[in-house]
Amino acid sequence: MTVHRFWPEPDRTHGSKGYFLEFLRAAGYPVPAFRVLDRDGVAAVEDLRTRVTEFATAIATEAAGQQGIPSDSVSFAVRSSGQRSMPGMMDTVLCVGLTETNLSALEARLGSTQAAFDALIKATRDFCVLVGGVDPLLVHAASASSEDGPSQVASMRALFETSTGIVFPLDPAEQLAMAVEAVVASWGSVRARSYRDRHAIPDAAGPCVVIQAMIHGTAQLTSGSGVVFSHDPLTGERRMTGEYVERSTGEGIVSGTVTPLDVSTLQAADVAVFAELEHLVERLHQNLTRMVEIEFVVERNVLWLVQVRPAVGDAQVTNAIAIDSWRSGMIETDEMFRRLSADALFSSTSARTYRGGGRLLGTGIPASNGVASGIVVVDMAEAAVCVGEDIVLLRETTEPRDFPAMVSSVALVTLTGGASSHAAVVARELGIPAVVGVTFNDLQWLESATGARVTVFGTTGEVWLGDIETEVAGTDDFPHAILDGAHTRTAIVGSLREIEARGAEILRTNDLALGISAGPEIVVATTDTDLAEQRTAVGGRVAFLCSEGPPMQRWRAVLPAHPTEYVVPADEVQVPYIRVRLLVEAAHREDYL
Amino acid sequence: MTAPHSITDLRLLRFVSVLGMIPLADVAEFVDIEDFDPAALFDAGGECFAVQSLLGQDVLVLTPTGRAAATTALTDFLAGATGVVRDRIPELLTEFEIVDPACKIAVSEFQRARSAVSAQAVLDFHLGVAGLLRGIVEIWPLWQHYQRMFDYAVRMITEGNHDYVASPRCRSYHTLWHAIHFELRTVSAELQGIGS
Repeated sequence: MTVHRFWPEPDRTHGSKGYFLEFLRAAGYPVPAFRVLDRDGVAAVEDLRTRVTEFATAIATEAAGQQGIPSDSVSFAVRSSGQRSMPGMMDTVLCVGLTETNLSALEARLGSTQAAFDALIKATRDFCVLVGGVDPLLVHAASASSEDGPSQVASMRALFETSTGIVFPLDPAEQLAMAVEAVVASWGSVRARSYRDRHAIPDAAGPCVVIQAMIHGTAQLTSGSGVVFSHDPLTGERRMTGEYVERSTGEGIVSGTVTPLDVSTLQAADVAVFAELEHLVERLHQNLTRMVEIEFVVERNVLWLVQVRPAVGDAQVTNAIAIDSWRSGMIETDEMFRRLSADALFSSTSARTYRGGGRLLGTGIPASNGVASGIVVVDMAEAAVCVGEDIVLLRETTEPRDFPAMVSSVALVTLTGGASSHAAVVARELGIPAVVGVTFNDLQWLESATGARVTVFGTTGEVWLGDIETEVAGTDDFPHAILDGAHTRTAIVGSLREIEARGAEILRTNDLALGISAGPEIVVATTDTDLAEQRTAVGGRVAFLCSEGPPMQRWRAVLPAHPTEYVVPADEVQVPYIRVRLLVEAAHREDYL
Repeated sequence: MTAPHSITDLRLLRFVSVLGMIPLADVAEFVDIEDFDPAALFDAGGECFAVQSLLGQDVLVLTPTGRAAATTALTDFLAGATGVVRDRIPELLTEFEIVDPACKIAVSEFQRARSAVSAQAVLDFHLGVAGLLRGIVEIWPLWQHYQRMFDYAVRMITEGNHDYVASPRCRSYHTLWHAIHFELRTVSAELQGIGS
């Protein structure tokens, strides 16, 4: 089986989206014809028109052969392809290059005059808003005030010309060149910059651009679009999950502007297409051995994959998928350990993800994981009268004197402060969810918040009104099978006596000089990680004596950065954690036995 | 706790007002008197009372009378403070707030890693600010006990008891840091009120 390393090397040629499209094409998946304009091509403004004209001709020819459609029915989707995916952050321009001259061919292809004209209206609207930068409300007004389709198109084009001072282009290549420039320019939008800030994506990298033959999910017969995952992204369970909207182009799902249905509705519409989608999703997971997110479009009962990207779950979800992939034989044991987070494996799972219902009150900085619902209180006196109730402490900020109320709370919310604020630090110590620096959408609600019931999502930084249905992730059962037959160079022993019983002489010390200078045959027993690391680094024998884990995490143990000859747990409950930690670290060092 | 208040009483009142509560078991250690009987605190003054916290501990909290006494202690101090002291406190607050972000980063980093290395980073931070902390706690007799508590937290961390980095359940470095910061801000604000 071919196993691909999931993340592409950063390059100027494809970007992330282009890389995965190339992979899909090479592996024989049903991908609409496309070309990738690399960053050099994007930057070479003087040649842009020539390049996109070549691309448009090649894509139209290829799509006609691939789909059995007239080449003059082909229009284009223009998407960014950054080195890292930024879902929903960059503009995507659809149906580019579509004009009245394509309508009869498109009508024949889609099986509907209305669907063809709707595509032209959408093409014109997108071009006005995304390429011309015209106010969407003005575009909507121009469109709504017109009596029929041709009038709508004419009104929007006139608005484009008065707003931009540019004649609305009817040449497909010119439209394409302008759409490429607009998509690249959206890299500098506020939302894209903000996303890069939050995810530490370099500003300077800039995107490549993917130009792809448009698939119309608005056609007759079974048509629509959706987004699916190979696993449940909330739990890591291996099953196709996702959303589908009939008669749609798909960008609404990605941007969150339409309310989709569960992907199982596609099964009711076309069993064969649904089965093919399930098969392709499973095959992609097996090819890439990770959770994948797939954007697809169905045009007249034919399935197309228009985008694939890596789906990132939290550490517990990643663990669940790594262990499942290992159990299924997709990855070797060392690769499984390389992907595991030992801490997440032992942390108790908790409900933590929004599942539905309620009203979003505000968002802030996710400071301490978990989800909890309770009644809002704003001071100690209120907390004191809420005995027996689950309370959510809502404060401008917190001080040490708020601790009695904090310890009585199931969650903390503050209006100011960051991830290192007093509230954030204390919430993490108490193991309760916290969102700090929250901006509330409705300040009037905030003024009378006392007594309201809210749900705090410490993992996503959201505060919702009422009790929100949540999803519990992962499994609470430790998967002991992963330890079967797994060994490291470090021996875990119950006590120093066991080492002495093996004939070794032991020197117990935390004195750095004494410990390092001890004879090579002596096993230095120490609780000091520095001493353990330094003696190990010079080939010395060390038995590292663990300290007990914190009260809420008795399984946790601090270990030296380099493996010692022996580890002596302070508590038997630490043994599985220590074994997994040693195996994970050995896998990263490629020192796995 | 009957009037007139001793320095020990006032320290205790002030400290409980800043922390909200302290474990009853810690009171004897706090007031530094052998065989101290916490029941003596409740005899006549009505300034404190003991309750059981949700952590299952018997804790000492202040009554409104006790909170008023803690405020009076501050007012009395400022009334008798020299100009030098009044000028110095806002300066100390400024110096404190310059290093405050570094403390928060060190503590948050510790919470992520919970390792000896990250705990050491908190100790390293403390080395750099120990002089500043000494200058702060010496300026008001009611703050002098902070020195002993900071020293104890540092010793505990050095010995590998990492609860003393950030746990709110003990007088951890993080708790003490915020407590003395709160005191500095309160006194500075009060001084500005006096000055205006």
